[in-house]
This record gives sequence, C-alpha cells and structure tokens, in this order.
Amino acid sequence: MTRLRPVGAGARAAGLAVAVLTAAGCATYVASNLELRDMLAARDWQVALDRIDAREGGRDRLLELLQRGHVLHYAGRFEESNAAFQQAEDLAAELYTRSISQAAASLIVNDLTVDYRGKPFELAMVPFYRAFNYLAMGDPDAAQVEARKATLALAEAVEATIREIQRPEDREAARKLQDSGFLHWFSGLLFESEGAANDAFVAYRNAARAYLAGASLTGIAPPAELGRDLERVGLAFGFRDEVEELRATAPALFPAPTAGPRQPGGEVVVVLESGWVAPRDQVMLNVPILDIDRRYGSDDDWAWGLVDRASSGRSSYDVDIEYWLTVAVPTMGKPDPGPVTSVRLSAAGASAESLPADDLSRRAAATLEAERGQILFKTFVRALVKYAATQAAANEDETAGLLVNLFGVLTERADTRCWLTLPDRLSVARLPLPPGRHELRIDYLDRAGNTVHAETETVDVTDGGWVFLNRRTFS
Amino acid sequence: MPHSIARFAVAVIALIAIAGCSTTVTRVPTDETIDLSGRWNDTDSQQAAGALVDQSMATPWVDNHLMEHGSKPTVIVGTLRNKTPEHIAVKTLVADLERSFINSGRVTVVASAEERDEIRGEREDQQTYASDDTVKAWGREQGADYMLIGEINSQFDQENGKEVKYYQVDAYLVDLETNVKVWTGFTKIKKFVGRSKYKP
Repeated sequence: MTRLRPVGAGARAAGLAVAVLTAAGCATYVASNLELRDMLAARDWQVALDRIDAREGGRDRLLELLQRGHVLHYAGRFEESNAAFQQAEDLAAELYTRSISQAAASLIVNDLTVDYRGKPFELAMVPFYRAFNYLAMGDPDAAQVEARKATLALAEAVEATIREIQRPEDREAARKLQDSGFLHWFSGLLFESEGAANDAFVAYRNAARAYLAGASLTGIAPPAELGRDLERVGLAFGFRDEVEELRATAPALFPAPTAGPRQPGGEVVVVLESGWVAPRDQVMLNVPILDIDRRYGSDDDWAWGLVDRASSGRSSYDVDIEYWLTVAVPTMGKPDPGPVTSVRLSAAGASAESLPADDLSRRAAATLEAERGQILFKTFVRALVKYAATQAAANEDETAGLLVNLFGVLTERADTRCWLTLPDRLSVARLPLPPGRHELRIDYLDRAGNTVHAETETVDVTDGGWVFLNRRTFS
Repeated sequence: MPHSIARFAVAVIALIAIAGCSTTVTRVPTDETIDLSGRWNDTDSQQAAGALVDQSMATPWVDNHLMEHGSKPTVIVGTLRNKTPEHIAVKTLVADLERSFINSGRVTVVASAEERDEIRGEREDQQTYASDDTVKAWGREQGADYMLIGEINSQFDQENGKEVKYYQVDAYLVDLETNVKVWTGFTKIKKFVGRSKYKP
C-alpha cells in the first residue's frame, strides 16, 4: 500500500460541511430487516417469505437463503426448507474463495461490498434445522447425516473465520468458538435414537467436554440429562473406563442416579428455541490523527496504531490533533429473550421441565469479540484511504475535496449483517413415556414459572423409541 | 495521489466486470467424470459398485453355491447404511450394484422389499382384471439365497482450504438361511479437494 501522508486543516472545513449528512446515511442491515421478526412473530410465514424474496440477494444472498430456509421450516414446508438450506451450504462453501474485487471495493466503500459468508454459529444451525426437517418427513437416516454434519460445519466455519484474522490473540479467541456442547449432544441423541450407540457415546463425551470448556463463553453448564446419557450409553455398551475418567474429571456432570431399573418405553425430546438472537448494531467512533503519526513505517502499522487508539477509549492527547476520523463499526445489540424461558412437558402422569442448552446471543457476542480487532483494522485502513483521497482532491480543488469527503462519509457504514431470525436461546426438555399414544401437553413458562400459553401434541411412543420435536417462541 | 486512486478505481471496476458471469449448459457423456464440490457423486457410485461386484465375482462363493445347489445364486440387495456427513443417493449405489450383478451373468437378482410391494399390488390387480391365460399366480416368487448389506463410512480432513475426503464402502453377502457371511468386500475412494483462496 502507498504510504499515506497526513495533511493539515485543508479539508477540515469540507469535512465539517458534510458531517451533518452522516445522519442521512443509509439504514443498517438490521434496521432495514427487523420487520421480518414481526412477520414471524405474527406467524405470517408467506408474508415473511414474500419479504425475503422481494429483496435482491446480491451480497446478502447467503442471508436470504438462510432466512428463507428458516421461515420455510417453521411453515412446515420441510422439503423446500431443505432445498434452501442446501443452496445456503453450497454458497457458503463457494464463498471460501474470496473475491479480490470485492475486497478492493471494501477498501474504498465499506464491508457491505463483500459477500456475507455467515458466522460459524449461524452456519452450524443449518444442520440442526435440516435434521428436524428430515425427521418431520420421516427420514431418520438423512437426519443422522445432518447430525454428523453439524459439528463439522461449525469447525469448518471457524477455520474460515480464523483465516481472516491476523492478530494471534484474536485467532485464539476465535478458536474458542470451534465447539458446541449442544450440537454434540443433539447429534448424540439422534445417533442413539437410531441405535448407533458407539457414535452416540462419542458425541455425548464430546458434548461434555465442549460444555465444560465453553461454559465461560455461553454461560451454560452441562445439562444434567447429558450426564445420564453418558452413563446410560457408556455403561451399557462397554465404555466404563471412559465414563469413570469423565466422572473423575468432572463429577458435577453426573447427577445422583435415578431410582429403579429402566422401564419399558421411549422418550420425547423437545428443543425450545426462544426469543431473538442479539443482532449487530452500528456505532460511530471518532479517532484522532495526531501530528506524530508520521512515525509509522507503513499504513498497516498506522491502522493497527489507530486500532489501539480506538480501543484505549482515550479522549485527550498531549500532542496536536490533525484530524478526527469518524468511522462506523459494528457492536452487539441486545438479545431479546422473549417472555418464554422454558417449557414443561406433561403426559401419562409424568412431567419434565427444560434446561438451558445453548445461548446463541452469547455466541454472537463472542464471535464479534474475536473479529473486532480485524474489523477495526480494515475500517481504519479504509478511513485512511478516504482521508488521503479527500486531502489529495482538496489540494487540487476545494469542491472536489468536499465531494470526495461526502462520498467517504455517506458510504461509511458498519457491516451489521446477521441471521436475524435465529433464536436467543435453546433449551431441551425430555420426558420418558410408556409405549403407546399420548397427549403431550407443552406449557410455555415465563421466568417465574407461570404458564404463558400451552398446547397439546399427540405423540406415538414405542419401546426404545424417540420422538424429537422443536418449538419456537417469539417475543 | 489522485492518479493512483483513479488507476485503483479503474482496476476495481475491471475486476468486477471480469467477475461477471452467465449461465451456460453443455451436454456431456454420462460416463465423463465431473467433480464440482468434491462430494460423493455418480462417478463414485459407479466405481464403488463396479469394484465391489468385481471383488465378489473373483471369490469362490458363486462356484460354491453352484456346486452345492446346481443353480445360480439369487441375491437381494438390501440396505447400505450411509454413515457419512454427506447425503448420498444410496438408491443409486444399490441400482449400480444390482446392474453389475445382473450383467455379470453369474447371479440372479430379485426385487427389493420396496419394489416387491409395487409388484404385488400389480399382481393383485391382475387377479381381478387380467385374462385367465395371462394372470400371474401367487406364491411363485423366487426367494433370495443371499442378501447384500453394508455401510458407507468416511473420514474428512481439512485445513487452509484443502480437504482430503476418504470414503469406504463395506459390503457383506449374508446367507439368508444361516446368517453365514459368504463374502465380505470393501472399496475405498479418496479425493483431494482444493479450493482457491482468491478469485478476481
């Protein structure tokens, strides 16, 4: 990159003249797509689909496909949902190859000129929904394929994210996103449901390790049911040593044994998806260019210097400030947990409540935290390019300088793209039931344990069989 | 500086123009190997079926059966369980296996459980609507001597956009009366999938 030259107050007036126009900048991705949530909350699936289809995918094509697959899933159009998700997975794989022209454009416009590639926790949810689609279509073998894909998809997406990150500390933070206790656990349940005990045990063991390692990231402790799964499958299929090893490492994983031998019957598993995932938001940062900035050997060093300056939060300096750079960077919005926090399942005189299993909003926040340094670096490289262009144009002609600055200001937008329709949290309820047909009552509970609403579902339980359901609550 | 920025902008526009594309469709021979994503495809299915049947025919179970029973063995292709993280059209592989067995001329292949239901429906229909001299009788189906079962497993390893995909198809021929495995075979497929890091 050409060494940029900090220049004086030439274009400062121009900058001030157009600063007022920043407020007129385009709305962020989140702001212009939030109405999709209202449509889902109203269960207007077709309206939501029309809304998704009406917007040209362009650089957001992946998001369009993800959200389309998601809405079709809730609409019960499982085959179409899988088709959209398959397209999304194909596109995500294709986008591993980065476009140089898009990268170049992002250096003079903003990061929205680059195709959205999806965040690891987002791409890892695709096999989850596809598995439920296949189960609903009566194809448990295909659901097993999705179970095997789930954790691979997460690891693959994290690897692609790490590739974009330069600083070792940021790469280390990204590596922590590489595993998901919930996805391993869910896969294990699907494996066990099809009699693949060995695969199930490995998945449960990986789930336990991932939950223990990721507790600080998600704030979710290993669910008590996972310990029972490990014990049941491990002891029944000859993995006693591994179970004892895990018990010694993490005794809290294994709750007190439940009374009595196993009764004939099957199990109902309900995954509750509640609320809305925390979206990305935009914040404007003002960072000074100081007269001592000429000491930087390269513009990359200068941009990293600005990253440190922005991260320090300092507002006063002992040296002369030549210029204030104003940049737009993404920040985390607040999650919307919604009124429902758990479910209670009741049938045949038995009942069970759900336990937290994953927190997608915290995963979203951890993802941004890992990417933040790199995003800031790119943002400041772009800001310096815009600054230099403004100065160069202003040196030739003040109006030209004004126009270049106007372009820079109006195009300065943070990349807040995200899969907006994902839930905030996942929790899992499990209810063992005797063989036969049951009217399963599902109570949706608020934080205080009061029923917000309830529904009944007819389930057919076979001896040793499993019934998997997922339910979504919105705001 | 303005000149270099102008050159940069022109270069960006040129790259964007190069990156533009349109849909083209070309007919290709069905036996031509075309790998796009690196996932299991029609070529893998044909290769695996051919290799398994070749292995099977090269072992003495067919001759042993002929000596013992005086007739060609009858095989039903059962379930091949897909234990990979890819959706594999197992039915295509089953069809390829059946075709390879039939074309070998040494084995009789009977319809699968799913196909039998359809055929029995037709036979039932004939009992009412077909003429006496063309109606097909019940109870004359040929029972299989052996069932081919198996599974497809895989191991994938990837780093920096490079991926090695290893598939193994294991197959077993099981005597339907005694549960004795008269033949086991396997075939492996290994692929290297490289993805470009950059494009224009």
